Formats: sequence, structure tokens, C-alpha cells
Amino acid sequence: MNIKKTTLTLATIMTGLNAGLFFAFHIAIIPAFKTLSDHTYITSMQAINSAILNPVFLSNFIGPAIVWPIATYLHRGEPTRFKLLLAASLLFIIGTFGVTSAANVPLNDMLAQFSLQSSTPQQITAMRTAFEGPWNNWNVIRTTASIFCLLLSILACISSLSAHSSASRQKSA
Amino acid sequence: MNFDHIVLVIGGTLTGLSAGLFYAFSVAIIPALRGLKGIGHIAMMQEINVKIVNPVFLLSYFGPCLLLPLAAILYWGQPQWGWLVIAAVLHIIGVVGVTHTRNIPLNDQLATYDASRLSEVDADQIRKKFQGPGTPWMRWHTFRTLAAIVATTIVFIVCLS
Repeated sequence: MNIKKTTLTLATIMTGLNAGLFFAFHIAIIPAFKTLSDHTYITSMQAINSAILNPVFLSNFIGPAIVWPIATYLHRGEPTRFKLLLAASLLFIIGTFGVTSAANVPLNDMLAQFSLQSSTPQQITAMRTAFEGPWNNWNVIRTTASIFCLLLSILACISSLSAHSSASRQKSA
Repeated sequence: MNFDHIVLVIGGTLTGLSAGLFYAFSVAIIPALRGLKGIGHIAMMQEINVKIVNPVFLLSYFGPCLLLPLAAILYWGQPQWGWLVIAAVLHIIGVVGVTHTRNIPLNDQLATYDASRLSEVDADQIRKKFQGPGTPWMRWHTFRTLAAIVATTIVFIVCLS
């Protein structure tokens, strides 16, 4: 394992964990939360948004935005891989990191400032409506971007395997 | 791109999604549930356990059980073969096996409670016994999460080698 392979492996595993995390929201948490009353929905979403801000999540989320460009740069001498990794980097930085920072985080901040105690039931319903739909839609976008980023990175590695395995098969044949 | 590669890319991606899904519980969902009242925690976990059984989840969860052994067979006789067997065993036994024999029976036990009829004191005890730090559910959850992360890493390193 040299520095090229190490950065690439690290970026891919971290991307995989982020992809699966957003995927978990899409397939399990969001559907479960749909059944909640407006009051419980807001309490639960506020709890998740504050619990997720911990060193493990943050380093794993910010990590790929730093490691992807490094891994891509280190592969500048291999044209096929470089193109795939550049696309993976852009997908993560724009589609996952960018979308989260520009769309989901401002919605989370808006929700965090909302006080359930000092609001009427109508205000609570209005808050949920303003938050839930847009947040879920942006979650679909960042989930899709990170899954494609993961696919591209595995594909980028295969681009060397194809030469390797056909060579080893010719040898064995 | 040939068939071997497609199996490896899809198998690896699905294994990675499973790993990240379990990681989401460790890093965000369970810590958030612990911050709620006992009744809320139990009701939410019951609802998640019902909603998670859907075709998309099942694809990411059972997909690697077929694709990783298939990849191992396709790479038979090549240096990658042994590693793919290890990744397949990790997913089939360490993730799916552990979930079915350890976590699901505990989830089924939790499903028997009617959260709305529990007192706050009882609910708090039940949730601590179910998903408090160091409980069997948590230990096996950490185990399956690590198994899935290691399996994903192995598949990726196989692709790189």
C-alpha cells in the first residue's frame, strides 16, 4: 500500500460510510418519521441534528472533501483513472458536501432555532411543512451523489484490474 | 468492463451501503434516540424496525450475500480469490448472520411493547436494557458495523490489487 492506494482507499471507505448514512435516512428514518405527529417530528429531528455533530461523523464527512482531491491529483499520470476520480471528487464535493452545507444545514439551523414551547400548533405544523419536504428532497440528491461517487471510485480501481486480470488469464491460458 | 467487474463493482457498492447504514445508527440515530424520553425512544425504534423492511434496503442487505460469493467464484484461482471469500464470509456471517440471530430477536422482543401504555419509569428501564451502552443489541450492532466496514475495505483493496 503506497500513498496513492492509501488515499484512494480512505476516500472510498469514508464516502461509502456517508453514502450509507444518507441512504439510512432515505430508506428507514424518513419513512418512520413520516408517521410522527408534528411536535414529535420536530423534537426527533432536532435531536438527530444535534447528536450527529460529533467528531466521528464530522471527520468522516469533511474527510472525503479533502482526501478526494489529493487522491485525484496523485493519479494525474493515469488518464482513465484520473478522469473517473475527478468525477468522483466533484460528485462528493458538490453533490454531497456542497448540497449538505448549502441546503440541509441551513434547514437544520432554522429548525434548531424553532422553539416548540413558545409556538402554536399551527406554527408547529407550518414549521414541519417548511422543513420536511425540502430536507427530504435534498437528502435524495446527496444520497444519489455519494452512491455514484462510491461506484465511480470502485470502477476507477477496476480500470487497472482489467489490464491485470486479462494479463494473468492469458498467462494461465 | 466485463461481467466479473460488474459483479465486483455492484457487490462492493452494496456492501459499502450496508456498512454506512449501520454506521448511521451508531453515529447519529441511537445517540439521538437516547436523548428522547423513554416512550419516544421505544416508539421510534419500533417504527424504524418496521419501515426498514423494504425492497431497497433488502437489496443492499442481501445483495452482497449473492454477489460476493459469486465474485469469489469468478476470481477462482486468481490471487483475489481468498480475499473475496473472506469478504463474503464477513458479510454473510458477520452482518446478516449476526443481525438475524442477535439483533432481530431483540427487535422482536421490543415490538411486543405498546409504548403508549408504558409508564415513563418502565419505558426508561426497557430502553436502557434494549439499547443502552454495553447492552447485547449495541455490542452486536458494533460487531456487524465493523464486519461490514472490513468487508467493504477488502473488496476495495481487491479491486486495487
